[in-house]
Amino acid sequence: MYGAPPLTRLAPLALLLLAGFALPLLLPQYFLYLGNFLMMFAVLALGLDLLLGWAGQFAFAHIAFFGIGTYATALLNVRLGVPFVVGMPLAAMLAGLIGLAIGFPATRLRTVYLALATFAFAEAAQWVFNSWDKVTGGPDGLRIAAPNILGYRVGTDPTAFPVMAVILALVIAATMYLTTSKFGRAMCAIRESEHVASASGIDVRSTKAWAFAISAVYAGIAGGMYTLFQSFVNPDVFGFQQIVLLLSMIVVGGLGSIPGALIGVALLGLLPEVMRTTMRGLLIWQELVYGLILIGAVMFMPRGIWGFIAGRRGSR
Amino acid sequence: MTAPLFSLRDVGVRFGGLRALNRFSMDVAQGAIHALIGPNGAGKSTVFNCVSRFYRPSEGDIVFEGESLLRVPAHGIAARGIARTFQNIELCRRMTVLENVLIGMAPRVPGYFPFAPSRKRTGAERDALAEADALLKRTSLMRYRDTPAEELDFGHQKMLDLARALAAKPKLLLLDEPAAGLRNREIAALDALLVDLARNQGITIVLVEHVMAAVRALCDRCIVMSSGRKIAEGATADVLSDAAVVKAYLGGGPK
Repeated sequence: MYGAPPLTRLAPLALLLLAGFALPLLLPQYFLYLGNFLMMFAVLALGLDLLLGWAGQFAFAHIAFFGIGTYATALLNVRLGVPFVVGMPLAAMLAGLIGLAIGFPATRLRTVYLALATFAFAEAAQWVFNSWDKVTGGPDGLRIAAPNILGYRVGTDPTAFPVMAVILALVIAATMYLTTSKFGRAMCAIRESEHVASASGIDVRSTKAWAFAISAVYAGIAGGMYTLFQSFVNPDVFGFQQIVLLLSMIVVGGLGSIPGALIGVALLGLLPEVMRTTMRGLLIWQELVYGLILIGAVMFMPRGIWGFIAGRRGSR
Repeated sequence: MTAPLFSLRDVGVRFGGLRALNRFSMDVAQGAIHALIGPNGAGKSTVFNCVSRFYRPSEGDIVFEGESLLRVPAHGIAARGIARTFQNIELCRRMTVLENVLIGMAPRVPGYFPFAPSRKRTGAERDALAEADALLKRTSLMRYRDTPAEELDFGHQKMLDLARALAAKPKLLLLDEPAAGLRNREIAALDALLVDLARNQGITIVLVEHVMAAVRALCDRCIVMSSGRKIAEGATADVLSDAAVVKAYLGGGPK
C-alpha cells in the first residue's frame, strides 16, 4: 500500500468501460438491469469496505447515506431542475458533509457502541425519509425524472448502463489510488493499532472522521446511480436488510480489498437470480443460503474469498 | 550545564486510588542514554505513556525543548521529534514490514490529494520509499520487506518496532524493554545500533530495561523507580552498586 496502483491493476478498468458501452447492444434488458444493480452495489460495498475493512470501524450508517444521496439527487432534479452531472456530485458532497458531522462524535465510540450508534442513525434516517412526506413523498415514494446527462437521456437500463460503468470505473480507480496513499496507510494503521498510529503521528480521530466522510461520499454516489436506472424510490429501499446484504458481500468477498468487495457483490448479488433460474423450488430457502454462505466464509475463509485466493498465491 | 532536552517535573498519575506516578521528576540531556529501571509496576511504562499522551497526568508537567507536551495532542508528539517502542511489541500486524516503516514516517511525508495521481504524490511516495528502504537495510530487515509483520519471529518484530520509531527521525527515542526476550547475539546487535544512534547521530535515548547487562553497557545515567517514585539516580555504575537499589530491585546480592 504505497506509491500508486500499478498499470496492471488499472488496465482491467478499460475492460469495464468497454463492457459498459458494448453490452447494451448485446444483452437483453433484464441482464442490463441486473448489471446496473450490481454496479450500484459495488460502489456501496467499496465505500463500506473503506470504513469497515480498511479503517476497521464497525459503523452501519452506510445505508442512510445511500438514502441521502438518492433523495438529494432525485429532489435536486425534480424540484430544482438541477441536472444530474451537477446534482449527483452535490448530493454526494451532502452525504459526505453529514458523514463528517456525525463522524467526529461517532468515532469517539468503539466496537459495538459505534455499531449501535450508527445503526440508530440509519434507523433515524429511514424514519425521516418516511415522515418528511412533503419532501420525500413519505411511504408513497417519489417519482424520479429520467436524468439528462449533457443531452444524453438516461433512465432506462440500456441507456444507464454505460454511464454506470463509467462511474464505477472512476470509483474503482479512485479507491485504488486512495488505498495506496498516505491516507490509506493511516486508515490501516488505526485498524491495526491505535497506539502505534497515534505514537507515529497519525491523528486517529480525524482519520476516522475522514474515513467516515469518504465512505459516506461513496454511498452518496451510489444514491445518484440509483436515480439513473430506477424511476421510483421509497424508504423501504433503505431498510436494515440492505445493510446486512452489503455486510455479507464484503465479508464473504474479503474485507479490506477491492477485488474482495467486487467478488462479494457479484456472488451474493447474483445468487437470487441463479436460484430463481436453476433451483426454483429452493428459492424460499434464499435467506438460509445467504446465512450458510456467510457462516461458511467466516469459518473456512476468514479473510474472505479474495483473502483465500491471494493467500494461496502467496501474494496480497 | 545547558537546559535539558527533556524533563518531567513532579508528574503525578492516579488510577483510582493507585498512584502510578508520585511527584516523579527527571531531566535528560541532549545525546545521553538514560535507563529507567525498577520492579514491575514501578511506573516505568507509565512515564512513556504520559509522554505519548495515552495517560493524562493529574499534576506536574512534561517539557521537551522548552515546550509543555501536555498542550500537544497525542499525534503531535511524533512531529515534535519523540518516537517510542512498546513493551508488548505493537505493530500493524497485517501490514508488511515496509508499510510499518512508512507508518512511522507519517508526520514527515508531505500530504497530497489521495484519490488521483499527481506530481506531488509521486515525489512524496518516491522519497518515502527510498528512505524506508535505507532504514530497512540498516536494521537488517530488508529480507523481510514485503512480509506481513505478524509472520516475523520475535526478534525481528522487536527490531521492526524500533525501525518504525526511527522512521520518524526522532530527537528523543523512548524504548520500552528493547532487549527483553532477545538472544545474546541480538542484544549485541541492538546495543551496537543504539550506541551508534546516540554517539553518531545525537539521538537522545531513554530506555526501560530489565536486562542489566544492557543497562550497564549502554547507559550513561540510570534512574531507579519503585511504586511510582524515584528512589535513586546517578551514573549507571554507581547506581547499580548502591546497596539500597540492590535490595529494592535486584533482590539479595549483586548480579
